[in-house]
Amino acid sequence: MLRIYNSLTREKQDFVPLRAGEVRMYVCGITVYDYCHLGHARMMLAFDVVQRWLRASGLNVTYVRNITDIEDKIIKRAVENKETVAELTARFIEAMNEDLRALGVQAPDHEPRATSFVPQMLQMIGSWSERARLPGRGRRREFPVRKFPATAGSPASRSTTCAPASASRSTPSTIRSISCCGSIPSRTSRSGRRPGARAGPAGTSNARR
Amino acid sequence: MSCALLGEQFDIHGGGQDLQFPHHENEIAQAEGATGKPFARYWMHNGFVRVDNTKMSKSLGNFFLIRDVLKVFDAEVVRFFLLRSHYRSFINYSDANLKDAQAGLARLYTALKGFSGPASVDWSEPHAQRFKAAMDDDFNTSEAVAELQKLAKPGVHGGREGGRSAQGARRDPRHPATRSRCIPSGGPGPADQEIQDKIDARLAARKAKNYAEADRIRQSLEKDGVILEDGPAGHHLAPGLTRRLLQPHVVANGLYAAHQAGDFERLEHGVT
Repeated sequence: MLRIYNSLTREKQDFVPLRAGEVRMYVCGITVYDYCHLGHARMMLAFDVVQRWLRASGLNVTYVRNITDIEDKIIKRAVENKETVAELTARFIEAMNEDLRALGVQAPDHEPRATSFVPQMLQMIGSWSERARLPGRGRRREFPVRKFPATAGSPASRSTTCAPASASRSTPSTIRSISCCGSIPSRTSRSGRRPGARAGPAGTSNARR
Repeated sequence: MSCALLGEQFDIHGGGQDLQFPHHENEIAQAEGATGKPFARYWMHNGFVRVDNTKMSKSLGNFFLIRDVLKVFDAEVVRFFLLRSHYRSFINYSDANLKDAQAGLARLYTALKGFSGPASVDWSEPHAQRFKAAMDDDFNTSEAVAELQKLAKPGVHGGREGGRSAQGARRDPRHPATRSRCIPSGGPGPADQEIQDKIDARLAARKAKNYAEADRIRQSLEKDGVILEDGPAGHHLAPGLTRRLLQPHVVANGLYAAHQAGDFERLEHGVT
């Protein structure tokens, strides 16, 4: 019986997939604004071994590892380099793939890019508003963690007196830096206060001119 | 994105330790806030690579790029270095630790010499059982690799098919007088003196930086069934050894595939 240390419960637990014989796994990939370092390599390799061992154990694995191809650091770097976000990310995605191929990291089954999922992100933000009747203050949306019973017991809700996440300027026409893993800028991060960029379909520049 | 591709509930969610809070807390809150259902069931976080006991990161400026490290070390050495520790532990980056990994990997490959594939794993075999138990215990690669190393030790059952009886001829690599480790790969061969002469000639060629000649002698020695793996006397055959061993197709699939393919001759002599 495979046992996995679950960071959520802080203990090793027997691994029982939701659907027998099948594992669905998602790993936060890389923010592509520079070359990958050994820390990235370790993360990629660690989960490469996880998915290989799961498969070797006879499980049918669907492995998703995203690429964060729109984010404040990316936009900043693109502006510095006087190139478009698409140009910058294309270069570093290629470099990442080169490095990972060299290290023998198998490609995931799906490698979604954040820029291709902006409509879904907006839809998710919209669903909070519906469910919680979020009070809108201008164009800012607060995420009231206590209104959601499922998350009320999580460490975040205990350790923060305010909402852990807020979606700023979450109107469909102007969102900013909602990254692949759903890291809408936290209230404490500076990213929410900086002028943002228009999010568009993958391949267009998000850099402010 | 995870919900779009895997559904609102799925099994494993992973990432670096630094993402545990607030990033993954946010993600749980957002997903569960939207769906009203428990999100991912098992959350896995890998430990950092540290440099001088500080996390390696771009923002701290103390990072080593993969491509820079690969200029110095073989990709599979880097892979082995990063995987031989348990994924939740931290790893301290240093040249010494990488060189140690390099030597460890070379030992594993050396143990495979003379083992002709293809071979399948007998999971009822005690070493294999312990390897599996380690991997099933939260992917404990550290224990699993230790099990492989036990197998690679001279005299341990299950390593090589040929050459076991010739262990007596193996020199002790820790002995200060041993400049090269001489590993008979089985079968009848030339007399000891002839081999010793070749080893001496090769060392002389290396000292004279005549590497072509040194390589020629080493290849000749291999035909005699002797593999040279330089010891701690300052020679650096090990990188060359692994470089020759680790062709890209092997790097891409690792030891397991090499084992499956039984392609050790090709590994040994290289294909490029």
